[in-house]
Amino acid sequence: MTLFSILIATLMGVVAISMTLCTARLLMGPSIPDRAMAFDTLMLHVVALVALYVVITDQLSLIDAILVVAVLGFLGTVAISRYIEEGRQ
Amino acid sequence: MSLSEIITLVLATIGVVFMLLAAIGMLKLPDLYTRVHATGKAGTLGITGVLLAVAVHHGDLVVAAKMIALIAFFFLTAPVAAHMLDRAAYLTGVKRAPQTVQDDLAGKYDMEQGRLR
Repeated sequence: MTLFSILIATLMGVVAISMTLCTARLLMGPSIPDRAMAFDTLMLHVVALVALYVVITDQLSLIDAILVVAVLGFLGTVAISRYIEEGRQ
Repeated sequence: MSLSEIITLVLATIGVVFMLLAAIGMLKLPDLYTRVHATGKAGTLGITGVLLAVAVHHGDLVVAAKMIALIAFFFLTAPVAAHMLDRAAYLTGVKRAPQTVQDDLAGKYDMEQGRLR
């Protein structure tokens, strides 16, 4: 392994720590919008993690997977928001 | 290390630090409205840095075009998602932090319809 890939792997570790913090908010969030926001941020972190993995391994087909994950994260957030909003008393 | 690798590392480090700040802000801030404020801005800036790092590292036109399309997508959709979440939270009556000074929307929402008066 070169120094470059070791440093990028370290950044991936930092992203993983950040994902742990998001998961903590997802588990303890007092309201449903809190959890939806944590889910949105978690999807953002998945995109960043796979992007850094593409930098190390040069698997360019994963970039299309990133696109799909980004669109799914946004659509999930919008769907949950509409669901909360329409379902109120 | 070559120059493109150094630029890649700098951009990725900036992006990852901003994403870590977004996650810390989401964990530490007192109520939902400030938390959405933290993740909506810092998260978008962080993902921009990481995706630009990928574009610089490969130097391929197709990869760079996809990355710029993704950045444009995040810049368009992150404010929309944050606004919809805040709106749903306000309409369902999520509590504000006790140190909140002012609520400009008080009395301006028609709570039955969910629209501004």
